[in-house]
Amino acid sequence: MVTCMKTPSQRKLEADLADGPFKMGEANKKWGLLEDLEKTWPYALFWVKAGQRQYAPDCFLLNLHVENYPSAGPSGGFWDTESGDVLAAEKWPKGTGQVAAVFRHGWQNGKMLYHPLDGGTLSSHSDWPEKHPSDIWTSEKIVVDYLEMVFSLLHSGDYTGV
Amino acid sequence: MNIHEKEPEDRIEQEFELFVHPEGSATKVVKAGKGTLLKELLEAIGFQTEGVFVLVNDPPMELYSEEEIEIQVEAVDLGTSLGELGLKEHSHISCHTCKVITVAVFYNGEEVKKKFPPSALISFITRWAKKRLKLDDASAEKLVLQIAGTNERPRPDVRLGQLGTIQGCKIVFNLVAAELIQG
Repeated sequence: MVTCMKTPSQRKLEADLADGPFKMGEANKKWGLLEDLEKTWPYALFWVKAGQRQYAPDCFLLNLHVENYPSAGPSGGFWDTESGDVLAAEKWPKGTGQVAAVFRHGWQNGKMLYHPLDGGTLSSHSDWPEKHPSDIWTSEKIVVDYLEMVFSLLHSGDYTGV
Repeated sequence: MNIHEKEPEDRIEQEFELFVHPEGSATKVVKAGKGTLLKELLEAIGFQTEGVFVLVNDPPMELYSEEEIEIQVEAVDLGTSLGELGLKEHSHISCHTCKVITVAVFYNGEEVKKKFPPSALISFITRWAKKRLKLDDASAEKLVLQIAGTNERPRPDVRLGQLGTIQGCKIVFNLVAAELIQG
């Protein structure tokens, strides 16, 4: 896709991916972009590093729908590049507490994470802006806020593996 | 941003990426060579250097006692080159008008206070506060820092000096429970 055909959302996301917060996470091997945005738009495919757990992978792929970024938050779930589909339930990251609440494969068939930063999930929870005033997606937030949320859960005591 | 686009090729080859943490705003990525002077680099990206303390790399704050923090935080000479400062790929540069910032953290009616350099990470300050408040790992994991009087909970990768709410080189946080998601 040539530059003049890029949407404002794509240009904004590209700018955020070239900016300090994303690059710092990349330099610290916390996350990265797996494929060129031009090939995957209106999705963005990231890898996110996970804490070490027995029999669990050291990172997960996250496929985020970003068509209306940043007015709507990114929305997506864990991804399997081999099947080209949402990661199967048995390979989904699991745990207790917040990991179980946010990474619920049953929610929208794994196509969204159950969190107020997820634009798709947020659109069906009108009470969340009041219940989660700090965590809610706003256009001031950046994709790094979403990646940091996933990274933190994958390094929390609630995460047990797959 | 590349500040040496028109420099000779041998200088371009030595360029590396640095993270600059400005006062009150998000981290910037800058490319420069080892021969670049710090002042030159900061001015090229539009930073005010007059009356600003510049800290490079991350001070090993764990090693400092409370009294030592202010003494040990040494701002660097802006006339020094990046190479002389030992800066390399992905080194950090923090700029702030405060050399140190007094941080107060409130939790359950208890207050802990300490001075930190502007380069201190929110993740580091959070760990310090929990330790000082003697909160064990299990109960403390879901506690986060929130800037007093706001809903703002800075990400752990943000440096103290990047917060826009610091006044008079002081800031107050509340240690609060993370907003739990329930089904």
